[in-house]
Amino acid sequence: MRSALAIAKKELNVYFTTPIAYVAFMVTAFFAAQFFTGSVEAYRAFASRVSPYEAQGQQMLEHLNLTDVVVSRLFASVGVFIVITAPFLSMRLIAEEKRARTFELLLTAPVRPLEIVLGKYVAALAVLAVTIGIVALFPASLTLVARGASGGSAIEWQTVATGLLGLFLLGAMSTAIGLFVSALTESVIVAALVSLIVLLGLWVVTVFTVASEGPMRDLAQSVSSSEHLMPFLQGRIELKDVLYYLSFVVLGLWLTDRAIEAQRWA
Amino acid sequence: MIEVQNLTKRYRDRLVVNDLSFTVQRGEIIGFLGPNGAGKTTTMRILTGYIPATSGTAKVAGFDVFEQPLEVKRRTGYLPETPPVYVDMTVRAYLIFCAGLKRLPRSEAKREVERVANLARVEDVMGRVIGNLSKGYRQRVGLAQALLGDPEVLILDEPTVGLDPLQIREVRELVKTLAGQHTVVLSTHILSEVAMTCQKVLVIHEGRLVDFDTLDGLIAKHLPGRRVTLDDIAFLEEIYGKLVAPAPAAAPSAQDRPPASPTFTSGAPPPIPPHVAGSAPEPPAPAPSAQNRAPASPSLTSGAPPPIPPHVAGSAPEHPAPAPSAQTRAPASPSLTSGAPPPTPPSKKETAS
Repeated sequence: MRSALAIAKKELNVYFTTPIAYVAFMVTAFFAAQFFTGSVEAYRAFASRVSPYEAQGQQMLEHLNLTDVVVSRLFASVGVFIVITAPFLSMRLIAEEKRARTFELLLTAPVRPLEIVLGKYVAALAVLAVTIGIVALFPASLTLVARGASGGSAIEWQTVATGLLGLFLLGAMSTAIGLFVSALTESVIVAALVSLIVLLGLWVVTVFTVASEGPMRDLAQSVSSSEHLMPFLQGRIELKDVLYYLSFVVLGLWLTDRAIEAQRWA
Repeated sequence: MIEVQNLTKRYRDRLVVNDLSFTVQRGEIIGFLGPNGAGKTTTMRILTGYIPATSGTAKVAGFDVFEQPLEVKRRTGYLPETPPVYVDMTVRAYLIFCAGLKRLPRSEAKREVERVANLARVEDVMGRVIGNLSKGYRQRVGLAQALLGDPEVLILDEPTVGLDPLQIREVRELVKTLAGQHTVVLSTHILSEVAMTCQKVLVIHEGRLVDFDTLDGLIAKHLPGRRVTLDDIAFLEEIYGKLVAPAPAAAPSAQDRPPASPTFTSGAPPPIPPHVAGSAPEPPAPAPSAQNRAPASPSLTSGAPPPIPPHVAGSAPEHPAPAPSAQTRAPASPSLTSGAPPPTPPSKKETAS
């Protein structure tokens, strides 16, 4: 495991000495900020239009809260940026090693291929975790200016936490798939584009079956990465969703290990 | 230390390494020679566990490369053909990363990095990003990486490519100091390097082992009767040419020579090589004629070895008369010796001396 840590450390070193990590942070922070201010503005407009003196309006205001309207919507929008960012974090992990002929160094060092895979995966995941941490700053900033109706916190931290967990699992799945694609090619660009297509396909797969009914639609919903994110955003951790993401992680890492091994036999 | 048996590597229908067997003892430095595409790099990759062999076995330090790759890799330092350096990292960060990869204890890693940096002479670029370094420095960083952890076996694939002559000498000295405790296999195209650093030479051609012997053994086998010093690389070029000559033009000459030289040596081994005697008195005109006569003289005298070659006596500068007579005799002599060419061209001898 010490070798895996050495690899993870080296990958982190590369992420932060080259612009990749900073670009990922900047892109996510920029778009998250747009969605966040948009959501807050929509919330403000809606709250000011509803009259608290009518029975119907009062009922609406009781159900209106920052967590559901602002934070969950923000997280749902950030989800797509996780899907877009992850391929750019994972693209060079193995493809670049192969192109630069440095993979020979790793494979002739006393390291198992699985340790190489895990080291690289952990490093990419760490960068992704920081990205999600940046997103978490937006709900946190709400607590500075707003207060809950009964004097408590303006947002429900439990729901925010499950939402962040969902985003992290989505990122973990995306990185694992990206790592596998990166192990298949020597070209960084190909690795990025192919994993982007696969991940976006999984994200929007339900769109293709909007018109159909029955099993096709059920199938699309069960393989869609966005459908499995929704319960987390609503504050629910369901086993099927956790299993969905984790099985992609395990499958991706296992396939990466196999791909590295297979190429030595080619 | 390294045992290779019937090693074969096949890429689809292309046979790269063909039934290769050899053994390297502990502490030996082996020069790995062969034309481009002979299978040198492939063999080295198999030995380091980077790629598996199609059939056959390879053992390094007593461990099978295929069965216990981690044990082998722990004991092997490897410098691949292209130095495996990360262009985004500094030399220091790179070497510390490699020390971690090789599981050196954290406390030792720093000292070990300094040690190999000194050995490979990269201590003055430790803080620089590898991408900005010249090819020679990258090569030396790669070499430093291979030396990390003081491995028992070193496998160096063309370690001196891209270095300037002085650096080549430094690397050569470094490799020499490794002899004894380390087993070194190094591939190269530079024959002088082999002559100066290696105890044994392994020549492969089209994936097959052509010869594996000490330098002296090679000389005795392929250039019998030739006296050479190790500063001289012409002989190695000749042996190498004989072993791997693929062109039909070179093949007959290589086959012609062995029959020619035995008749020369068995007939009359001159106690002093003719060109040595000829070059001593430096007569301007008689010199070429004297050299022409020299090979013919044994056959003319029907195997009686003259204690002193005749031209030494006749080559005094103040006697121009013997020179033409010698020249008239010279063309006749090859026919007497039934068309055997002079054992070696005179120009080769001049360089050899």
